[in-house]
Amino acid sequence: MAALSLFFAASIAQAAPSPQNASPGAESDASPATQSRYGGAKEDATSSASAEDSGYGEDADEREITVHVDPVHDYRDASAVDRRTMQTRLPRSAPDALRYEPGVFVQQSGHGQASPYVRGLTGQQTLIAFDGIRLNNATFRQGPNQYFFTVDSRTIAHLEVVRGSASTRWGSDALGGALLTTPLEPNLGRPAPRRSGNGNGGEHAAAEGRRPTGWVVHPRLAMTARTADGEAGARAQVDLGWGGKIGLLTGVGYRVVGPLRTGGPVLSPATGEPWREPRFDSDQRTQLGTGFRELSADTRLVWQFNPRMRLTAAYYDYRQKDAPRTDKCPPAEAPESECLRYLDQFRTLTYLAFDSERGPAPMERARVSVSYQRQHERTQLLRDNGIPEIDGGTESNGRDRVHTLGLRATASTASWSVGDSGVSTVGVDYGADLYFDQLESLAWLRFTDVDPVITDVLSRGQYVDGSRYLSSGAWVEPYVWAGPRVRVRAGGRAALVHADSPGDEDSGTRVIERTWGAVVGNAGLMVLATEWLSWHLDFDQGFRAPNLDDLTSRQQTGPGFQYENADLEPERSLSLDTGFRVRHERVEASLFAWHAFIRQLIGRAPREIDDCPDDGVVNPTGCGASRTRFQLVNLDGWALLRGVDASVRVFLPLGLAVRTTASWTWGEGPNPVPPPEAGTTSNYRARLPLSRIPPLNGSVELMWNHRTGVWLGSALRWATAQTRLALADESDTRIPLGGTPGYAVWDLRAGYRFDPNVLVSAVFENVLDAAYRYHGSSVNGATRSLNLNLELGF
Amino acid sequence: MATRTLLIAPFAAAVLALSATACITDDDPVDDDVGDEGGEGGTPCDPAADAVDESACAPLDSDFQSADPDNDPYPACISDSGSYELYADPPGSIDRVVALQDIADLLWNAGAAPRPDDFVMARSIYEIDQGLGSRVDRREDLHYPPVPEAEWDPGVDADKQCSVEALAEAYPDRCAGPAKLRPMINQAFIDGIEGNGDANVAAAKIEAAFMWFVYLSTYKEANTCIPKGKDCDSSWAYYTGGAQIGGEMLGLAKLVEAYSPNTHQRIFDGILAVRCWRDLYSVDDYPTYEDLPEDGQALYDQAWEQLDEALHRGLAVVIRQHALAQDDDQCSEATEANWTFVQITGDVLVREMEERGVAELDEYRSLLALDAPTTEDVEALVGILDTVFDCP
Repeated sequence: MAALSLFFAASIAQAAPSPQNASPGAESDASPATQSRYGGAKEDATSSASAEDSGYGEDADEREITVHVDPVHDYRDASAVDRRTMQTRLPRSAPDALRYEPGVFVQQSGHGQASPYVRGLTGQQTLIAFDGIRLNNATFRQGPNQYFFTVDSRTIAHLEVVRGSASTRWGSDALGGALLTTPLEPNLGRPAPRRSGNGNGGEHAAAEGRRPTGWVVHPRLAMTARTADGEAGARAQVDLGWGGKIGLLTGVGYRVVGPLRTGGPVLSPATGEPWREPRFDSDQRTQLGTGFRELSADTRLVWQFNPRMRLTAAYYDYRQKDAPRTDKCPPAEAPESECLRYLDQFRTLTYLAFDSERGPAPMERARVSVSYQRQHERTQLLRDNGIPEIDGGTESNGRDRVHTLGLRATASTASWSVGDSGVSTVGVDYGADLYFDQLESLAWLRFTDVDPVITDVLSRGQYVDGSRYLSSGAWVEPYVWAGPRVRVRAGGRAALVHADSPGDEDSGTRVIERTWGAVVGNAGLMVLATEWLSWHLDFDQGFRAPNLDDLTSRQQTGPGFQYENADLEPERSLSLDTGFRVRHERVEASLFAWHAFIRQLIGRAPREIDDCPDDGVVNPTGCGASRTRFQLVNLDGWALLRGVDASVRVFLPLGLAVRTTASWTWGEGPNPVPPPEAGTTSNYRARLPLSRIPPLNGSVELMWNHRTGVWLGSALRWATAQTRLALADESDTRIPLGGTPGYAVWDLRAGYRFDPNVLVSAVFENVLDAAYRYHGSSVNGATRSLNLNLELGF
Repeated sequence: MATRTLLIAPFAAAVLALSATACITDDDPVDDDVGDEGGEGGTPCDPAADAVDESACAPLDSDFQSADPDNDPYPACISDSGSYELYADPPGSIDRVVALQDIADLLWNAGAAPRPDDFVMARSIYEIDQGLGSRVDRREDLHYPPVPEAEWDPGVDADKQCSVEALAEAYPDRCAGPAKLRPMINQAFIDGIEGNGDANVAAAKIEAAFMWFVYLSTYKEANTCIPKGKDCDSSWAYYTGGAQIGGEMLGLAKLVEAYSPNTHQRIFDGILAVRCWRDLYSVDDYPTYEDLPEDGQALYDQAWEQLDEALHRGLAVVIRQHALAQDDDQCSEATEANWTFVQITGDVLVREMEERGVAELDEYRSLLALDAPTTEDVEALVGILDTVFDCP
């Protein structure tokens, strides 16, 4: 029994940052007196989850089967999803894996795209990191984007959401929060655990205490199928290791996803009528403009050249092909053959990272990484000529590439005792980072129905070709354990951001040469009221310098045509949080209330035709012809966001666990339209709701896990209607007239795990066949359907 | 140390190798040169300058009259000044009509036959995202009955059934944009770019199709102004290009104003009539036709009909002036193109003539079908148009 418990406990711990897979910069400041799990996520997660330590016997085993991994940032509002949980939920993508996290709401502009809202913000206002490397680049746009979808969920060991501004550690963009992804690690030649562990490359922690042998190979094949969209996919993976020194984890995945069948159109809250935008097929179920293909490949080579140091070379390639943008495929009212597709949505990340631990006191733990990331997007709007005898028509093409070089260094000092008692300690986390983006952007028309085919290159693309962007900073964050129960942190970052763009005379695009400096800080207090209850009070500042999308891009967005503003200033935020966290053997819970202030929020201000940038015959942009036009502006005054995030997990006897989450967000900002002249009658409002603020939403999950490896579960996701709309929302056809209706979606889950040989998991999704849409999405939710996952390996 | 260096080297090499494999090698697009040789077909025709006699015409008692708003049957309203007052911000349709005029300057107003690269430039303008082409592709002719409900595609909203290509094919009169205008315009662009046949003929097809589109759009937007007030603005914009009476007209209005200022004023009054109605019956209170009180419905019907009648006459005037140009000496090089314009736009009025039970309809059709009309043929055609569409 004890051995089994150890396996369970270890498998849970594997996704937490062990010395081998620690997220760089993660804190290592466990209170010396308590060795509590708070603030000491690494080793403590293993020990605290041990059945032997807990003294709960068999119940503890059952608890540990279902326990969640503590977030690394457990000193503030954060939560995490591990691989084991993903294997029971079967998310379609990395963003989808966050659907059950409090404070996160996942919007989808396309079937192959998804963007998590964290505390009401998304896209360029949240930070995405993979293995500590920043994925945000200078083309992350206003509103939702598709880029987190390009992280292959099958390569993720651990996914953490830090809620609230986090710019001290993560720099520009981290206003709403940070999404921190930890990849699977190779085994380094340790034997695979039996019967437990997630069995997918993360076993090394489970086998931490096992004696490494010579060459060890763990192949694994995972296959997935879903009936709602005919998805069929597989990932083949080999984990090759030697003597605890060398590990190579390499995998390749592919999937084909067909048109998505949904529960049908949702009803407009204003009219009660079905909302058929984006468009459905004649069965009223199949959403047009869905389906895609995906190829992913990754290789992670680790050399643990001594117990304290390791070198990692990693390569992650994601290639998505033929993903339509659902609301433009076809656009409302256009012939059904018209379609905007992302022909290519590629992301390649490769890096070299050096980790050390147990080093000299000023740098007890450290990580340095050098990275190169390449983002490649190729779009094509296809309009058929309507002539039956002549194939082809007009292609409007775009191609944008961002090359990003990154350098990041983080370190943590040892914890020094203060005073004679040894109860109080102090330590410092610190680091610096630098990312440099180089942009290529082109747009051209092709007339494919003429012989020979004619290409007409436009003077500029969505961005300005040759633009560059540098984002850099250095930060320090000391912390103090003032006794065994009080932890205080405070820190700051000095940031420097530079943007330059050569401009484009033909299209009236200005030359840009801008530099911004910023200093942000944070402070936090955590009080351990009891061994299982903590109270938190946090102040975190965020900032976001305007990026190349803000400064140079011209594009059709959901609400209308959006064009650049070269005079934008950085957004700055302050989030204030307070809440409680419970970590009891029987209950895990968190309740956080937060309030965020954003100054100079960049928003969309309506513009008239005459305001359009010069779009004469030389380089027409479509600004004037669009129904609505917007320019990005710094809103004058404060935007306010506030909300509550809560989650409770109760461990019941007999292997049962119930978890429920709820999130409420409210957002309001200055009206981007100036007030009317005095004396005129008007229904003008000085302040308006912010765009696409998620409605009140939450989830309930009931899981039963048996020690044989069988599990059963039930899950309910719900949201109320969102009828508070921003100006831009009202002209966005993705949002039904009057807002997005509420929903409740019920799933059933079942599975069997016999690690590392077999994993079978199934989700019977949307049992009641509800028609639903996440607010702001183009894509409705899947119809009643079956999702299956089978993994085989040894 | 040297051993470690040796071990690190493969890591670095691996990273470099993997980076190299990430490269994507599609070539940058380059502009294609289709040639700037003069197009075939000679100098395009100018429409005839013959005066249009409308001295006998007078507004109906039921018409809105901007010149005398106190004596028309409409209560005092926003249109009484004679200027069009925008319901909302200037509509994007202004830009589409500006694009039409830009294309006109390239293809039929340049004083010479257009060259292939003129067609390329023109088509690039036509294909702007959300531009002229996007609206041509979706334009319905509201003079015809809608697609029968029994045949609707249930996955598509009622007012978007013409976007279903099978339905557009089955109901080409109603779905005039996707079924008739789109292929006609694109075929003309293809011919112009490839240099097939007379460049002026290709340009004339495009011009005629655009006039047809503007005629349909002005009428259609005045109808969709019932649920969406800002569509009244689009109706005005499609006709005028965003100008007030006396201002610089674009597109169809530019032609009508040149040939018949009276008809032009009457079309403008029709647009003002619909705007007046919208002012009197707010969209907030009456978002659908059914929500309107009886007098509101009657006033809307009256205004829309006034606009429709005036538009018929406006299009008829444009056709007659082009027809009369067949005999002009200046037009000797491009009569085929000129007659093509007459044939396409002339055919648009057949439905109205059928509705009115015009006795000369068969003769009208026969005349339009001629390849090379004589002076007598032209005079007969103009005579029919002047008889049937005598006043705006």
